[in-house]
Amino acid sequence: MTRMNETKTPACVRIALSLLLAASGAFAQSEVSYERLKAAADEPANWLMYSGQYDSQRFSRLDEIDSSNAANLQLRWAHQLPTLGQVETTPIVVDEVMYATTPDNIVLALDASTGQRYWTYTHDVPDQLALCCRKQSRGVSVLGDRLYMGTIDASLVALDAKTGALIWNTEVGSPLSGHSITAAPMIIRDLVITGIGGGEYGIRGFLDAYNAGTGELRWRTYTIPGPGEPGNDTWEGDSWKTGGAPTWMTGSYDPELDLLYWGTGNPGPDWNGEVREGDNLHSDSVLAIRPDTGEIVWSFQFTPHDVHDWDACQVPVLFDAEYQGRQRKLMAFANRNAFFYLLDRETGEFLFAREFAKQTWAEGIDADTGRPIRVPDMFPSEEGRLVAPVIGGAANWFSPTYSPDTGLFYIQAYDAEMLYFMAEAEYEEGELFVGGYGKPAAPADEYVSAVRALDPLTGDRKWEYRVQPRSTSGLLATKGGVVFGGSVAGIFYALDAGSGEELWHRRLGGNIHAAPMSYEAGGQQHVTIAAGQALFTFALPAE
Amino acid sequence: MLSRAIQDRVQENPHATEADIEAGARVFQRSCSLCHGADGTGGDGPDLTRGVFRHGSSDAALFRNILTGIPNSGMGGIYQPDKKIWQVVSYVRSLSRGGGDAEAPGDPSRGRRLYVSRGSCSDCHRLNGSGGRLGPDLSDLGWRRAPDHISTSISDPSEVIADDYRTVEVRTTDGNLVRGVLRNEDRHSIQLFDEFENLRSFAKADLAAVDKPGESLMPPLGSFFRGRDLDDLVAYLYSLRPE
Repeated sequence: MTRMNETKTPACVRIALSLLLAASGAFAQSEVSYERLKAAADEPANWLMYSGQYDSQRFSRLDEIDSSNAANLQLRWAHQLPTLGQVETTPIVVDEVMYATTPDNIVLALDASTGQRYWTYTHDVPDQLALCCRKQSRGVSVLGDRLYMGTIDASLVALDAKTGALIWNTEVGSPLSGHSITAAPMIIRDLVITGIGGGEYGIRGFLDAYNAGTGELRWRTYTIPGPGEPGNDTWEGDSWKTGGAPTWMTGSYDPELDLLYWGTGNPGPDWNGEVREGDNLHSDSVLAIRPDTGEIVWSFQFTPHDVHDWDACQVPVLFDAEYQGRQRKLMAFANRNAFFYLLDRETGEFLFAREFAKQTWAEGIDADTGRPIRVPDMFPSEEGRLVAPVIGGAANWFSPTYSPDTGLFYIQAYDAEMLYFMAEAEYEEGELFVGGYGKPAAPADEYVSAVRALDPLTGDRKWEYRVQPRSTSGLLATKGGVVFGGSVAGIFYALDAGSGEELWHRRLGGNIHAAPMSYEAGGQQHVTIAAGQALFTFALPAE
Repeated sequence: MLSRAIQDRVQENPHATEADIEAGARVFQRSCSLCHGADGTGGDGPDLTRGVFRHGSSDAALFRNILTGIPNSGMGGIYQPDKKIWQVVSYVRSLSRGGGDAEAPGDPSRGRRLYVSRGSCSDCHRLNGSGGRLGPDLSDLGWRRAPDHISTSISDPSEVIADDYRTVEVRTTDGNLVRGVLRNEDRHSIQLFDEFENLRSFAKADLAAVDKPGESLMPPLGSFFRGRDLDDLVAYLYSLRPE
């Protein structure tokens, strides 16, 4: 583990520099170019996109807060959000302005130093929607002086970052048919790329790219191949038309390879696979896509013919390392199905998979093909079948993090099992199309929820930090050697990245389902997390 | 919040016929069974057949919670037209009619005397605003539970323990044992309602042990109530219906 304490700039110097710049009038908020987005790692004072950087390591290169002083963290400000929903936003910060979203698609621009509000944009959300779960918006993206947000009624909007004024609003899908957007879009060059939700409504999943200037559709790539396309024969009859495979989380991007990586969701109906025999490509997969054309360059399916709702909508984490004797471009993927996968992201080659949480459905993963070797009789039934992991998965949309300093991959893992029931499933537009449900086999506190640190090159577990009850919070690793996370109990915690030892925690009084992020304002490192219906920001005491 | 409280009190369900219940069942299967189970007995979401709704039990509160969801919970709304929501309210209400219209063979009058005297049931159970709070409120038990279920709950209360009534025992580092009903727990603390009806909170750092024995705080009463006595007590409890 590399520690950078000896090279750190003292906080008092940073604050003085910041004040000097402000006094001299040198402070300027510049537009966010694509070049800035590509080089986001070079400006750790900002948090320029959902996962921090295109590689989705969610690693902050700020080091003022470290394992020796994290115990001194203090609340700097809180901001109550105008919502009653479950907040899962990761704010972005551009030159000391924070942009955050609520589940109802309200966007707020805040002073990142004080939490005071500059402006609010309220999207006009219709009363009637077809949602499997709840309203959600996990964040915005930025390009130039514009913000972009996908909406719960399946639109994509562009806003003026200075005023919150609506610039354009493009319809992406049909909300009454089950389409919705819950994830932050991704910007590549002049394109705004967005996924779509609706895997419980029998949609046919797709990924879209829109012209950032005009909102016009540049390309649409369906995640389920149509007739005549390779893979369409992995669907029985016409089941491909209602097969789901949505794209409801933000992906990752490698500018050097010019490949966009995006996870896909469950096949539909979720728990009744009898009406869609076959592997059901490209459900539960990660796709490598050429961003200018939408061409699928390669794909890898984690759970062929899924009948447990184990979407592969987790965030792919990109990193480079020496693997089996040579330097490689890798992708770490902790899947909802309880296996951690390592792929070569240049070719899509499967390298290995290993359990990172309790599972009872597979004897293992075939070392050559990456296909699971299924345990017999683990499909849902009318009587209920006990299977681990649960429907929510051993992992899910909440972001993992990777520290290049420790070389460890950190994930919220859940060891639990559930009774899976199968039921009839008949498609009707705008109605749930799931074919079953799940029922917990025991109270949640009888299962184990834990932050786990894995060696991504072997899958070895280095340490775990148990959280109770289950945590669905994302994680953040920092140059200061700290991993931040939260819990449903509303506890925000800081762990030593090397050992997992708890350094600090605070009760925030509301469920935490969001991921922490870090930025610099006024010359100081801040860490922000959403809990309940508020944003909380912490920093070390000002010197 | 005042306006919501007033609204909750005055708004009645305009779609509560048997046909509405059937229509509500269809919406429930499509929109709610994902979390609450096909029969409403719970999944990731809570059991709806007990007639206990912790976020408001009026028709209007149920309507609001189904329409828009419940903050700080896993419950999202279903964002459907008002009529469909009211029909789901009617169906959910029907789920707690678990008592049905069975024949309970005993004498409810004598059962009432047993309830008050020999069983000391009111030490732990509330009835129309009086009695203890450690166990479930029994004021409308006959509406919610059939005679067989009531009989089993008396003779073997650990057979089915509702989530709100799980037993917990904590032993402090200085040797004190505290028993009660689990209210909440996280990595650092645990909250419970103790046997003396005190709300207690403990830092886990101050505890030597936390145990959840999986048995009800209520003792099995099969040896106290047998034959005619059990029938009479069940008949009384089954006669308890909403006003």
